[in-house]
Amino acid sequence: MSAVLEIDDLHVRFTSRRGLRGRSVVHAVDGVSLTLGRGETLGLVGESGCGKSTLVRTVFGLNTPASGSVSILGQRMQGLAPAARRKVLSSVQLVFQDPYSSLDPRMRVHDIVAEPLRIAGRYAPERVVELLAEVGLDADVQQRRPAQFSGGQRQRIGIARALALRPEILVLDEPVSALDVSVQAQVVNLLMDLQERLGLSYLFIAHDLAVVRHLSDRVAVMRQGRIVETGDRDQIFDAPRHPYTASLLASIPHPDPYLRPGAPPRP
Amino acid sequence: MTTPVLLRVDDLSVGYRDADGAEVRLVDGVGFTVHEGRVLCLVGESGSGKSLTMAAVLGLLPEGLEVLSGTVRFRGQDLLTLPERELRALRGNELAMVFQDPMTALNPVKRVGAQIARAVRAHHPRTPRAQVLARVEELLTEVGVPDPAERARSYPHQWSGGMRQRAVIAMAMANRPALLIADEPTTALDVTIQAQIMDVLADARATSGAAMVLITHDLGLVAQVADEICIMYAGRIVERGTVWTVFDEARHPYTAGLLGSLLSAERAGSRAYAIPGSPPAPTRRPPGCAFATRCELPARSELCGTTRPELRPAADVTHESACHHADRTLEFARAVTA
Ligand SMILES: Nc1ncnc2c1ncn2[C@@H]1O[C@H](COP(=O)(O)OP(=O)(O)O)[C@@H](O)[C@H]1O
Ligand SMILES: Nc1ncnc2c1ncn2[C@@H]1O[C@H](COP(=O)(O)OP(=O)(O)O)[C@@H](O)[C@H]1O
Ligand code: SF4
Ligand SMILES: [Mg+2]
Ligand SMILES: [Mg+2]
Repeated sequence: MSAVLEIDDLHVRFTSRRGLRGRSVVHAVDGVSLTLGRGETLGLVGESGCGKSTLVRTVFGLNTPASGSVSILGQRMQGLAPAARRKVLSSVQLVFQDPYSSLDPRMRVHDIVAEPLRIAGRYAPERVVELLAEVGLDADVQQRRPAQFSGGQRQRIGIARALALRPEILVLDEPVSALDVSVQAQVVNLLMDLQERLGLSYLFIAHDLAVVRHLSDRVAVMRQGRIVETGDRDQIFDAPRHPYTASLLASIPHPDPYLRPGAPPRP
Repeated sequence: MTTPVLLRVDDLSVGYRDADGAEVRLVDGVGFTVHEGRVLCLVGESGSGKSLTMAAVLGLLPEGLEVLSGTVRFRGQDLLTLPERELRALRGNELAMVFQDPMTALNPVKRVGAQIARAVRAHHPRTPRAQVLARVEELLTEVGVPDPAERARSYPHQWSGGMRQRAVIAMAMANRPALLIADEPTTALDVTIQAQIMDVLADARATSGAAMVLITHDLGLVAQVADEICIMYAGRIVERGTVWTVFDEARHPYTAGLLGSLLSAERAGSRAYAIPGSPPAPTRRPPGCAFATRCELPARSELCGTTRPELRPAADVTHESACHHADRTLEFARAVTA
């Protein structure tokens, strides 16, 4: 499988002033290497503060790494001229966790989805309608504003916008964490459909292990800036090698009361 | 195996009157009982009325909302007509609360130990200082806070989110309550911390024998701790029963849909059932069944759009459903959870 995204020994540090002790350095990403194959979903799990979002921001060039490299579609980002870099980056799009704050409340749906097309000089009104259809929204939503939509519909609008420039890779940073249970499944199914239809590759970030298990082909477990374990989905979930992975798995409450200690036999 | 009834809520409605004087019911005719030492889970997605139901029980409704109907009896005593002073005495003593955000219960500028001491003293004002300090340490130890004596002297901002929630549980347990009301106590926490806090709650209940009403949208948690379950949808209870029977034989299409949409190991890589659409706003509920616009039960009928289904025995008296076609849900439940 050819790699669409390669992260090699990436280090990202933040220096902050901390109370009386003066400066302190946070190794937010501490030697991470990951490979995302074409058409594959790589799940990245870890608890809050472990460095997931920092890693994502660095892929998009929003943080400068202390060392290491990011390659997208075979092109090494470090040292690439700005114009060439922008071109490569247009093939990677980000979908955020919070469909409430990631859409501009003053803009109409049409303009939200059209914005990346306009910036790229590829605007066509039919393309906006096509993108909305792709995520299961009717053309008649175009003149409405984000506040008039439910969380799940807003997340669909965010995904339509992310698809505008026909990316090859979607980086999904906790895309269903803020959604209601009944709506999570709608969005997860949509992501699976889109991947099948468009051949997308997903870097899927979440702290919810059930969602990661559901979607991922491979899983990387992150802790305190490092990847402690990477493996095929079933290996990670059925036979974790690292004790941290095992402790994460042991913490998931199973939605089946009959698995409880002292439960009666299943009727 | 039933223990005496501790809390009994009947026909509780909460809401406000709009500009034309018409009632808007955010919680609409809710009823349930909590038995001594048992765990009742109120389950439903956000906006279904879980928090307002328990806020009304505790006399803690936000400004502008009122109880529109119903009774709330705690050990037979009507809480809705109880004078505020007596209700306050009950809260923090026999009735204790833990909320999602521990900072709603903690004062940021006071030492944690002093705040727990205050809870201890609130109902036993004449306790000697040394005894209060010893009790504070004991409570912090019980909830698994390391170095309790030293930690007690620090401020909430020096504690992590999980540790703060432990402190709040210590405060809630200070006077050995008979009923603990926990509103999404672990929703903001990471999974490993969530598991620790659920253990702390279980231990606290084991020591004190307290009953618990746990509000949550997490069916995993429910499956692990509930004795009884009330499934709420659009301000009403749509299904009620023991954890065993509800998980095993859902009698409401909404419950079946929720169970079907769980992303489980067995379904990895395939499509889970997804309930279409989203819940109606309180001011836009359809006239018949509030779930009608999303319901995919093959047996649904015209009745669903015209007549509101009431909660009534489905399988037996302990398992109730508010669906006109509750006798036709099992096959659907099996199909969507397959
Ligand atoms: N801009 C920043 N300045 C200083 N520290 C930061 C910054 N962004 C993130 N951090 C720190 O880096 C670590 C990783 O954060 P983050 O990547 O947001 O974690 P996650 O997304 O896994 O929750 C945390 O300790 C966080 O406080
Ligand atoms: N102070 C308030 N004024 C008006 N509506 C409110 C108020 N508080 C909550 N609501 C509405 O009441 C409904 C139920 O809210 P709540 O009990 O908080 O739901 P849950 O706890 O199940 O998420 C929601 O639709 C919410 O928007
Ligand atoms: S009453 Fe009708 S619409 Fe409502 S849940 Fe039952 S079958 Fe579905
Ligand atoms: Mg993050
Ligand atoms: Mg709530």
